[in-house]
Amino acid sequence: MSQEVKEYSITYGVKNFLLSKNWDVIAYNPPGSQGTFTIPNPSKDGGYRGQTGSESPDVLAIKSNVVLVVECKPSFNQDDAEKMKRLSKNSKKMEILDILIRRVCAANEIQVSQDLLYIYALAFQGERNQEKELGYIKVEVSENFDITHLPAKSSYENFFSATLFPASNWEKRILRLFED
Amino acid sequence: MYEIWHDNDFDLAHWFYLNSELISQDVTLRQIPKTNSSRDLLNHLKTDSDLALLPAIKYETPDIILIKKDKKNKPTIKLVVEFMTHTPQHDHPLQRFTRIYGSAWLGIPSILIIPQKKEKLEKGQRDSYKPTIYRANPLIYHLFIKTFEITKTPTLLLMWPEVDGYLKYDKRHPTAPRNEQDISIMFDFVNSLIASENTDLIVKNHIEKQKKISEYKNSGNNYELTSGGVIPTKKLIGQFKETIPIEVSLNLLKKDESFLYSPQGLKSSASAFRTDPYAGKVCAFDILFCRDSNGNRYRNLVLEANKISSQVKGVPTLVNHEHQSSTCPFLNSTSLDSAKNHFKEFCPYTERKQQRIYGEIPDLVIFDDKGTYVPRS
Repeated sequence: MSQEVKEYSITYGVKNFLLSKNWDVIAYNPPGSQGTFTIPNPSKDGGYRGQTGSESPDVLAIKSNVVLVVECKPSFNQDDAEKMKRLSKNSKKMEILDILIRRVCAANEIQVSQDLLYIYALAFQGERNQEKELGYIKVEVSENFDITHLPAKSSYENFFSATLFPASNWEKRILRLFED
Repeated sequence: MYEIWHDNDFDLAHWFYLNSELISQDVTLRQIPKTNSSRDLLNHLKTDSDLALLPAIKYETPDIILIKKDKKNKPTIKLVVEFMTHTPQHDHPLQRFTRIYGSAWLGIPSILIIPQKKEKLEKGQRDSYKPTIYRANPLIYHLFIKTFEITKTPTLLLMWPEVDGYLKYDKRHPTAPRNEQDISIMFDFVNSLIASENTDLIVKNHIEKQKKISEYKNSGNNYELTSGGVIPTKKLIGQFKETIPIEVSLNLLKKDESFLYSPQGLKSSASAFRTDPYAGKVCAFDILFCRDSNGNRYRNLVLEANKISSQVKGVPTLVNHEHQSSTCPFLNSTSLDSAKNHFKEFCPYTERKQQRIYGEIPDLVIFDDKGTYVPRS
């Protein structure tokens, strides 16, 4: 299985895990897809039409006014961890993200009633790293899940298992959002 | 049985399966080879019947290709679908048109799904962001109407459902559109194909609706283009008199008029010879400005490749080798062994996108260094 297919499978597993916990997935950008959500770069020159500095998180999901941002890779990736920390501290980018989320939610009939709380997680295979400020979604993918050639069926959920390891600062109200 | 081939977005193919009558059929979901290189193709395609995919990826790879396979008949491509979530102004949908163009000439029904309008937050004064709404312009609608009329093949432009410029997604498959409005037309069409029912009414109704929306006229539609236009062929030859060889001029003069496409962005810091969106525009301008109602080319199509040299370090930018089209698996039904043999020789469809599209569709390419390229007919 190529790295890209592995990364696709992990992103797909995270999406299915969140749907199973009744989160609304509002952005889903697995590798190979054209992506559905981009946060523009607030410091770019007004005349520049390109996408440099813009960001497309792999998964954005929302439940009860909590927004979860997830970056997915086959194994732990320090760059992804740093990228999410930078995003959380970039007030201008977060302001734009907030506007975008509210508009996407309005178009998709998802209730957003108050200030949004943002939480962040990494998803990969293997053991948890030392990065305790971020949540960790451990995704296991069956070797039989091969997106290059599969019989069609109604669901592929039994090919995946996902376990959530919360960040150290997540409160009880957040943890309850991941209960069945 | 059916195969749904996807361009690496498995979940999109799964959505396509779940929302159609394919759910009651024996279906396999398969990934389209990553590139058109003979190595990638032969690594990926394992049986003779797998080669049925190739005509649909001759120029570029669409997001979804539906193929019907059974024991009695040759495998057939039933449908090609391309999805776009970007803002729908001019370049973005035209960039995707090569997939539609390639399919329509082969009689394969095709669909492009784009937002009718989409809002983008753009940098305004200082640190502010202003929302800007982009809409699909009439030229895009006209392109699909005309492609359908001259190829007699269903080529549908459908709109991704949205609210105030924000797209509506499928709840469980978020790279796919919500199945409502135009998307339900797509599934009506797919289900009719599966049931071997006549699709004429679905297509006719949709085309008529779009003719009305876009104020389509059978002739005399005017477009404001900045990068190309129709000119008398004599004038074109006069303009490039030191460049176009005499035998090429004589051939061009068989048609009174030419469409000269002269984009400025073919070379960039990121690419020595860009194809997006220019290759799609070459295909679109062929349909819009160079074909009569029977599909015959009545105007020459000429690409002026600004800032592009005809060769780099002695290597031609576009090559004109002999191609054995009779054994080409992109053009004819053949066996895997025969395809392997074919790929040992030059096959333009396994080359770079520039060769596949610029090397075939225009009548003439004029390079910056006065070199020219004429595709084999």
